[in-house]
This record gives sequence, structure tokens and C-alpha cells, in this order.
Amino acid sequence: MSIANLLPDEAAESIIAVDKLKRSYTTYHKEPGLLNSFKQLFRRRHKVKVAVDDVSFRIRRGEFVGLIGPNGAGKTTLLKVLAGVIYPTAGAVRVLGHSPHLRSYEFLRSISFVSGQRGQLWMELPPLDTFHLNREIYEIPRAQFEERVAELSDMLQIDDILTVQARRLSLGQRRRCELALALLHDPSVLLLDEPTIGLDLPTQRRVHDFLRQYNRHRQVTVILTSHYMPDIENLCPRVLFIQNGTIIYNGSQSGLNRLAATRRVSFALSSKATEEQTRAVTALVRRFAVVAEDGVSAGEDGGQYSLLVDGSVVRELVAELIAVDHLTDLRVEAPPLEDSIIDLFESRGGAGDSHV
Amino acid sequence: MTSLRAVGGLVIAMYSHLPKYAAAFKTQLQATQEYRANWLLSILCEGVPLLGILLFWSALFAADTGATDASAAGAVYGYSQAEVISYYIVIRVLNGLFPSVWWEVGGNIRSGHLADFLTRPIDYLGYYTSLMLATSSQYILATAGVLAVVALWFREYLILQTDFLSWLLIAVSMVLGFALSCLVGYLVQLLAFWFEDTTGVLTAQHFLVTFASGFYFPLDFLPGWFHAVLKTLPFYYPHFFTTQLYLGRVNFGEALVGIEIEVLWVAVLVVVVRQQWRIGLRRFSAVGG
Amino acid sequence: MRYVRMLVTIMSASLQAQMAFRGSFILTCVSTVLEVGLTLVFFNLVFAARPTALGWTYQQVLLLVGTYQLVEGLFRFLLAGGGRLAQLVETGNLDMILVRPCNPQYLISIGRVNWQAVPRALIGLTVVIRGALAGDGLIEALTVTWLAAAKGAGLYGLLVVAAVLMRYAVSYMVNTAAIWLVRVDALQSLAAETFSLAQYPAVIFKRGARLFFSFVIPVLFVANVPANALQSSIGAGMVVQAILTGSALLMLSHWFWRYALRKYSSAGG
Repeated sequence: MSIANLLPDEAAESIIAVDKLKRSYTTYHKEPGLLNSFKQLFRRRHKVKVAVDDVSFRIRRGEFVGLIGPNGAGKTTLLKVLAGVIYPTAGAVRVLGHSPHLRSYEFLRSISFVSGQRGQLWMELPPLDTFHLNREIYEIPRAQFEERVAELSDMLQIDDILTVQARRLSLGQRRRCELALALLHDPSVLLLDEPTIGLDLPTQRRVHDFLRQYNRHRQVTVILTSHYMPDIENLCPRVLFIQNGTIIYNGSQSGLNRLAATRRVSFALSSKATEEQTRAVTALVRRFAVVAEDGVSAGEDGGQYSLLVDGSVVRELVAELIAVDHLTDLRVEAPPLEDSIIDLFESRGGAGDSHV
Repeated sequence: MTSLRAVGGLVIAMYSHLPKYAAAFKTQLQATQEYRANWLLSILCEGVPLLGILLFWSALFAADTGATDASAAGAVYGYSQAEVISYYIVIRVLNGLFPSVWWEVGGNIRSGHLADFLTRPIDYLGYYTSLMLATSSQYILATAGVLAVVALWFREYLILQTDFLSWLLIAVSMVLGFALSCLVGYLVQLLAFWFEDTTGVLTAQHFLVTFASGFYFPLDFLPGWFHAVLKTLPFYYPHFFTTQLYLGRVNFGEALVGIEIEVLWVAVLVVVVRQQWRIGLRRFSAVGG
Repeated sequence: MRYVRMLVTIMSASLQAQMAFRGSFILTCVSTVLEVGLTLVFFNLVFAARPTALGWTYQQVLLLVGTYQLVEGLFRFLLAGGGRLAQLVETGNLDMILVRPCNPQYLISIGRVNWQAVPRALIGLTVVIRGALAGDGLIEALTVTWLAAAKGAGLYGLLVVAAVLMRYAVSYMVNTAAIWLVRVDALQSLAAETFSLAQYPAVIFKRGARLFFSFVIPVLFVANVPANALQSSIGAGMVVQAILTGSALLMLSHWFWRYALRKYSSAGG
């Protein structure tokens, strides 16, 4: 367990340091059927799964990092290792100078783990009562507690629902209260596991605004896992992409786009185009497209085309398209992160789950 | 004899739905074996309270310093040690074969099936019965071992009934007892449903019904009037009465009377169940159509 | 100190949460009364036929039944939160508890204070008082000296506390097994059934069983020993034994829990 391989200034700056982290575990599986139920009583088959494999990265104070990847890639496992809930099988992890799995009081008091799917509010009581319980657990002085409650409820706009039974609140209201609950003790590191899951769009936006504001004002380091692309796109300047337990990208969000370097090219081919021209366009599309989307929509107005193209050949394609008659509305855009990722899978030949 | 026809109809209807019930039976068995340690232990669970009560009685008789009641020397309320010990073992076997209180068998009676309950009550009763059969047979599989050990341990006190006529009566009583047990359990579930309650009513009546079936102690321990009252109830017969037949504590005349009462109760409950069907159907069609 | 404050906060929160279910509360009371009542009817009938069965009187047996219910009631009231452990593991909510800067065993054990168990404890206490005042033992001590009675009662209280902790330790160890077995309700039932044997006078058990029920699963310490204290027929040695057994079981449960947590954290959570 050493961080000796870090450069001194790097070590000082980063509050989260992970080196060659490995995490594997065994699972049991059972065939269906009555006969196998009996067999299972005497002998079970198990297999070893590696959840996280040789992962290393550094995170500095105040960063807002997104952990993305397909289901089962190891995102939640990694987050749990950082929180100290799971032990590493191998490698070194250092958060705020502590080894998380030792679960020291100082460490646990300075982090917060929020899981979108596992609420901590007592349903039969108003959120404020659960806040008080947390106050006892985290030993928050009364004055500070009152201050934090006021500040957070103002930022999250939950002033009027703090005294309403949690069961009667909507999911969005509850989620905002959960966020406040998690931040009462002023943690330095915030770990969020799918924080916006199940929320409607307006609430998602409110949560985003809050997190962005909070991260900026308090310099709290935030790590977030999510399947919702807007979470990542709106909040995380830095992205860690995990696939099959390894990090295949560690850098800025825009860098990811550039790396995927696809562009969306869209245009319309009017019905006045000749068959020969149409065939030529179709051939062009086939030649250049990385992923061809909606093809020709048969109709009087002619076809709408849209395709993803590798950045390096965009110019070439555009040059050819411009030369085509009856071609209009030519547009080149940087596609959303989601599409870059799909591209990333296919170009790496990954047989991973389809994302989203 | 509309009741006889009703029962006949019930049996035929259930028979025709056998494949479905077999499937339910199998799933029920499988689901419980999933958690193997859990399953093995539920077997032991039966043994502990039984051992406790038997040890208590053995120690009591062993330390006997003389009876205060006028009955046979060394006997307690007319029970010899052998009779007491056999009583508890036999009544547990019967309780396993057809429990006096059917809980949420398979846990799925309430929620998913209430619509079936009202629209296709024959189906539902059959389904219910097949679940109970599954639970019974599981019980037999699971506890046969424990009961065998306990019976062996106390074998010198175990009474074995050998009289053919008695066995005939016992067999009749068991068949009627199973029917009674199903009907009573079904009606109790109904009660809980109509009262829109969950565990509250069920828990409270659990003790009373189990007590009235003789599970905790022989019902003839109780004062005469109390015993007489219990005799009028259907809970008395599937377990207690059958056990008394087994122990040979009932003469032929009393046995016949008892069986008559059993038949009567089966008839009455079948009528009640049919009435409930009609009401339920009417209510359901009035609401939904 | 904060652990005490946490307990108080949880007690008050649980009370508020459970206040909503008044109907269920009444029914629990009723079923507890029935349960205890049936046990007492049984013993009453037996002792009516055999007034000095096994060297005990009915009043003395009341002490056993009452103490058992008192201990069981107190345990279920304050320390039965461990029953949620299986569910916590299954839903993954155990992680949320592990992330808090607080002893997780404590947080789980007191996590849901169950006020519905209070009637059981009170009924048990009532039965004990009935048995103590109506028969020999305490009433004799009372007529002798107040000091003797106070000593008996004090020892009784101490032994009841020890018994509750022992009951808790065994129960928590069973719950801890949920980390491997996933479902432990059968094991819990088995433990509960075993402890219900406490209502019988210890004489019904032979030597081997008595040893087992003293040191492995301390059933005898639940009712028989405290009842003896009330009857002033207990030696200091027994009290020491109770304290030692209780401490040993608590340490064992804690050690086992720590071990299980390590396994849990190594198994991917």
C-alpha cells in the first residue's frame, strides 16, 4: 500500500489517489429447474469476476469528475472502494490522506455517499427529523447545524417541505432533501451514485444547478456516476470512462469528444435530385458514415440524411457533398457525449452492453 | 342434498385444474429450497418446542409425588405419561398435515389473487388447496426426520394404535379434518380480507384457533364447561378429535357422534363458502362488470 | 455519550413513526396477552393437578414466565434492529450504514426501536410482580427485611439486563450470518424457540443440556437465574457467571460481526 510512485507535488495536490486498484469477487450461479434445486443443496458452482482491474488515477481538490461506462463496468464498485465500503483486492487507495477501508472516524466524517436508489430519509417522519438524527451521528454542533440547514434548504429550495412527512413528498422533493441530508456535516468529498435516477427533467436541472453551485462555492470534490448523459455533460469537466473494469479514458469531457472525433453531418436531398445523384449520395453516405442513422424518408420533399462521421474525414465528405446538386441544409455538429461513447465502443470492438 | 352436490362439484372442478395446481406445487417447493440453510433449519424449528414440552412432562411424571385428582394414580387429568407424550407427537403430525392456521401460503394469496378470488372462486379454492397440499408435503418431507428422532427418543412412551376399526375411524376423521381445515383456513383469509386488515386479525386469531385445536395442551385438561364449548367448534376436530381416536380414549359411540359433528361442520362451511361466492360475485360484477 | 444521545433520538423518532399505527399496536397488545395468557393457563392447569410439580409452585413458575417475557420484551424493544440486516444486505443499504462515522453494529442494532414490544415487557413485569407478591420468596423476604427485598430486586434487575444482552448477542450473531446465508428467518425462529424454553424450570434438563443452556445458548440465564435471585436463593457465584457469560457472548458477537464485515467488504458488497 504505497503512494511512493507519485511525484511529491502531485501527491500533495491530489486528495484522491488510486494506484493499480484491483477488485474481484466470486459469484454463485444456479441452473433453473427442480432437479438443480436439489443439486444445489450439495454443491454450488462459482466463478470469479474481476470488477475493477489495474485502475489508477488522481483527483484534485474541487474537481467535479464523472464516472461513466456501461452497466457492470465497475463504476459503483469503484465508488464504494473510495467510500471504504469495499476492500481492494490489490493496489493502493488514498482519499484525503486516509485509506478508506480502515474507516476511521475522521475519514468518514469528511466524506458523504449519496445513492440515488437508496434513500436515507425515514419515510414516516419529516426530513428535518432525519436531519437531527444525522446531527447526532456526525456530531454537528447546534449552531453549525442550524446554519447548514438554513443555507442548504435555501439553495435546494426545500424550506417549506422540511416539516412534511417524507412519505408525502414527491421523489424530486425527497431527493433534494437527501442531498441536504448528505451535506449537513460539510464533507470535503462527495460521492454520488446515480443521483438523478428517476427524476423528471426540471428536477434534474435543479439538482444540477445546485451541485454546480455547491462545488464551485465550497470547493468540494465531487465524483458522480450516472447513466444520464445530461448529468455528465452539464456537470463534469472531467470524465473517467470505465469499461470492463479498466479506465479507457481519463481526461476532459471535450477531450473525449475530440478523441471520439465524430461529427454529425446532416443534410437534405430534395426530390428534384436525379436517381443517379441519389445513388451517388447513398454511396457517399455508406463510404463515410461511422454509424448511419435515419435513411431516406420517402416523401415528396426528398430525403433527410444524418450520419456520424470520423472527424478526420469530415472535410473530405463535406467537399464532396457540396458538389451535389439539390443538396441543402448541410450541417456539421459535435454530437452529444452519448454518441461519442457508442462510437468508442464500436471502434474498440468492444462487445459491451449498449449504453443508455 | 345440495351440499353434497356442491362438494362433488368442488372436487370435480379442482380435479380438472390439476395441471395448473401441479405447477404451483412445484414452484412452491422450489422457491423454498432456494435458501438451503434456511430450509434445513426450519426443520429443526419444529423439534425444539416439541422437545421442550416432552421434557417437561417427563420430568413431571418422574418427580411425581402423588396425584391430587381422583383419577388413576400417576395420571394427570386422566392422561398417563405415555398418553401425554403420544398426544403431543401425534397432534404435531396432524398439525403438519393440515395446519390449523394457514398463513400467507406462499406469501401471494393476498395481493395478486384477490381478483381471481372473486371472479373464479372455484379456481381460487383449488389453487389454494394445491398450495396447502404443497406446504403439507413439504412439511412431511422436512419434519419426518425430526419427528422420527423424537419418537425414537421417547419410544417407550409412544402408543401405537393397532385396532382396525379405530384406524377406519381415524382415516374418516382425517379426510373430514383436511376438508375442515381447508374450509376454515379459507374463510379466515376471507375474514381478513373483508376486514381489510393485514397481520393484526390473523395474529390474534392464530393463537385462539391453535389453542382450540389442542396444539398447546390436551383440551380435556380444561374445566368441563369450557371443554364442552370447544367441542362445538370446528377447530376441535381435525387435530384434537383425531388424536383422541388414535389414543383410543374415545369409545365407539362418542366417536360416531364426533364424526357426525365433523360432517355437519363440513356441510355448514361449504354452504357458507358458496354464499360468500355469490355475494362476492354480485359485488364484483356490480362494481366492475 | 453521543451513542446515548443517538439512542434517545432514535427512540423518539421510532415512537413518532409508530404512532401512526395505533390499530396495529392494540392488536399486538391483544396477541401478546393471548400468548402469555395461554402459557399461564397451561401452567395453571398443570399445577392445579400437581401443586408441587418438579419442586416448584405455580407462583414460582409465574416468575419464570414473567421474566422471560420481560427479557424478550426489552430485547425486542431496544436491540432487535439486527433483524433488518438481511434486508440491508439485499437492498445494498448496508453500504449506506457503513459509510457513517459510527459503529455499524450499534447503528444497526438500535436502528429501529420497536415500541410495540413494550406491552410484552410490561406484561412480563406484571406477571413477575404477581408471582413475587402472591407466593413465597419475595414476600417472605419482605416480611424479613426491606434490605433483603431490595437486594433481591437489585440483583434481579442486574440479571435481567445481563439476560437481555445475552439474548441480543445470540440474536445478532444469527443476523450476522445473513451476510452469507441471505435469509436467516428460520435460524432466528430457531433461536427464539430455543429461548422460549427458558419458561420451564431448569430441572427438566439433564446435566448435559443444562451446561449447554448455561454457556452456549444461555437460556437458563434468561429466566431461571433471575427468578432465583428474586427468591433469594442465589449465590454470588451465579451472578458472576451471568456477567462473565454475558460479556463473553457480547465479545463473541462483536468479533463475529467484524469478521463478517470483512468478508462483506471483500465480497464486493
